[in-house]
Amino acid sequence: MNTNRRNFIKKGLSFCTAPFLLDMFDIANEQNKYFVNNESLVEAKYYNKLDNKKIQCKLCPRECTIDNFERGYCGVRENREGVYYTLVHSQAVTFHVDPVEKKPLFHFLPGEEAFSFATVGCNVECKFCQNWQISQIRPEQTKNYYISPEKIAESTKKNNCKIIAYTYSEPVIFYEYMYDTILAGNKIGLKSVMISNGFINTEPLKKLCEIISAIKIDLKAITESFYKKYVNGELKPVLNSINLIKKSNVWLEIVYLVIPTLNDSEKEFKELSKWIKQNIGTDVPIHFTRFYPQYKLMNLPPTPIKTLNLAKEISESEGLKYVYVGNVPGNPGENTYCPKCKNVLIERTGYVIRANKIKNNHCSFCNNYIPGVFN
Amino acid sequence: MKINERRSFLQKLFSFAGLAFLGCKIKNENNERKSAIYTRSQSKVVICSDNKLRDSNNEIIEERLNILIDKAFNSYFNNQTKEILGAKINKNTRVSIKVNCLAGKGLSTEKKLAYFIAEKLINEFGLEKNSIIIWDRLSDDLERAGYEINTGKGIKCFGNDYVGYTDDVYFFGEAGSLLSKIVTEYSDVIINIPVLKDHGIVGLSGCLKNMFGAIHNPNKYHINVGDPYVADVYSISEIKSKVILHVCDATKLQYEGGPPFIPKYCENFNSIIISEDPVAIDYYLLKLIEEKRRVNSLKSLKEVGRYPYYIFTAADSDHNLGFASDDKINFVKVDL
Repeated sequence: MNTNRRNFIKKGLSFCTAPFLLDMFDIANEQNKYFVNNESLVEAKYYNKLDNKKIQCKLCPRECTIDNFERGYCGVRENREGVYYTLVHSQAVTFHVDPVEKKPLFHFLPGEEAFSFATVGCNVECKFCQNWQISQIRPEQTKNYYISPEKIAESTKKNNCKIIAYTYSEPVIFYEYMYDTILAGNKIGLKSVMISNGFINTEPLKKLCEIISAIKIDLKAITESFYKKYVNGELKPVLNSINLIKKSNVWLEIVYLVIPTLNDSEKEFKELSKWIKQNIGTDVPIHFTRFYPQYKLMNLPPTPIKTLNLAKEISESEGLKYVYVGNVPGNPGENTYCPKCKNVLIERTGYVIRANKIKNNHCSFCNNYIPGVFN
Repeated sequence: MKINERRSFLQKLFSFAGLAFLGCKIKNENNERKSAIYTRSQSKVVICSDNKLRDSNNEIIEERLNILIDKAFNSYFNNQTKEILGAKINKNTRVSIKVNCLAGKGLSTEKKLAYFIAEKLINEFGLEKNSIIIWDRLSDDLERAGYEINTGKGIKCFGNDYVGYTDDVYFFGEAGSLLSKIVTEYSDVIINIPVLKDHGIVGLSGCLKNMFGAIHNPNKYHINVGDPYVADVYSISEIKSKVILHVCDATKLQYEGGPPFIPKYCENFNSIIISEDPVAIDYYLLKLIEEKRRVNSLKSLKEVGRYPYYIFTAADSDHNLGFASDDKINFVKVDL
């Protein structure tokens, strides 16, 4: 490996960050109730026991059948003598305070900050993953920090955040940790938001929707072929999840990462918009975000701005009311407009809120109702 | 965003930067399909068996095992082991021996076999004991199979978890993985010693599949019955170029229920199978497992949806890792 000034600085920063974060958030890296023989072991919630000490995971649509001492596709759940364990409960690999706009959630407590964290692991493998350094890794391959659900809730309060965000990798794979943390946060008046690929089975998602406040789903494409080739997943279960979330009381927003040549045709933008309109209505915000070369898709250029603007135009022409352009700081598509009077209601630059003209879910110019959680 | 102080802003900025550079990076140089160079017109596979390998307690008799291994080597290399293998191994070579210890004591690579090969390298090629590592995915796996972890002087024995994985991602085809540093930093050549067993997802765990133990994300590559992932992982240049010989521990054969050890599906097979061609051995192992399944009235791997097509993918022109057809393989059976 070549050592140059850039690498040196990168490594230096990454080395410095974790201990600094521990100090910043007053998080003790100590072992406690979840540790068994120096490992963090909590029995998984959703699985069936099979013959010969095999188990079948029922958390996500992959439904891996797993032999003794083997792990599922996610790499963070292991069969030990016929009992299925999550290996990442209370094992955060990274945590940070982010503006909720970074998730992005634009109709959920705008301007508030979210205590955000993740464990390693993911139940798909997107070739364009921007966090592959933690999503495509196993827990024993990283430095993890013990932080209990209660401690996360406490740290969220201490850092003046109103929101706990489960993000960065794929929260579905640390479901039990997320679930316990939501409960701990709810007890002290915090909201929880999940940033997810939506690749989860119905039963665990229903249970989650009973306690969580908002979910952002990354809808990666509107074709099964894209999901198969570039995600190693399936589209249909994700669409089912979106429908289920919309029917619950959980606030929902959707992100569509526009990747040049792979999912950026006018036909796809139209199909996507029609599906949203027909299934979950025109009030659900959708964000068309800009792709940058990552992981296994280094051969494609960043998304042209005009493509993102085109996607926005098409969606709006199909009747969707809250269509945003993301990852393009300064683009007018970052703002929230009143669909009735067309005035700017929330003016954004990147993750910073410049002005907010929504009062009690209504446009302060024409009193039109604006859906979301604004208070 | 409520950032009131310069100090707070810088703290947040730096912690974000740290998150973005957690230390891994992509190795760009190898993002294209590259064909392996398999220049032979025919492969040779030696199956060396001894029906008196075990004592009355069903334990392997070490002396007979050693004779069996020597016989297998001599048959494969036409009594010129030292000359032929000597072109790839000398006293300064660092050799690692990849075993398969996932299934505990019942169905892991025989410890006696791994250490006899290590001793053979020392005695016949003049290697230092310190230059040899016996390894698998996790030290815990090795210990459960009866191996003693040694990270000090002498023949070393430990898992990938002891030394970790590369920062770089290595690519071939659909596979993209960090590699065990045992492969990249501690080995000049690798001798692969898999076992012979059925695999509940990818059909067969033999020579090709054993190299899943060299990557950080094997859980990602069992989908589609491992095809083309098993062939792709083996084709990663650092793996393909370093594995010089396969000595399959076929002292047992498990034809159903793998990869864990399930005694009712496991039989003594009392053989060592040796070749430089991993595809040819796996092709032979597949035939053995299918035949055992037939004899025991089990459905074929094809019928149960886990036929290891990856073996044939490994033989295609994109991978070119060896041969998977009878007319290209010279099977030599030797009985003691």
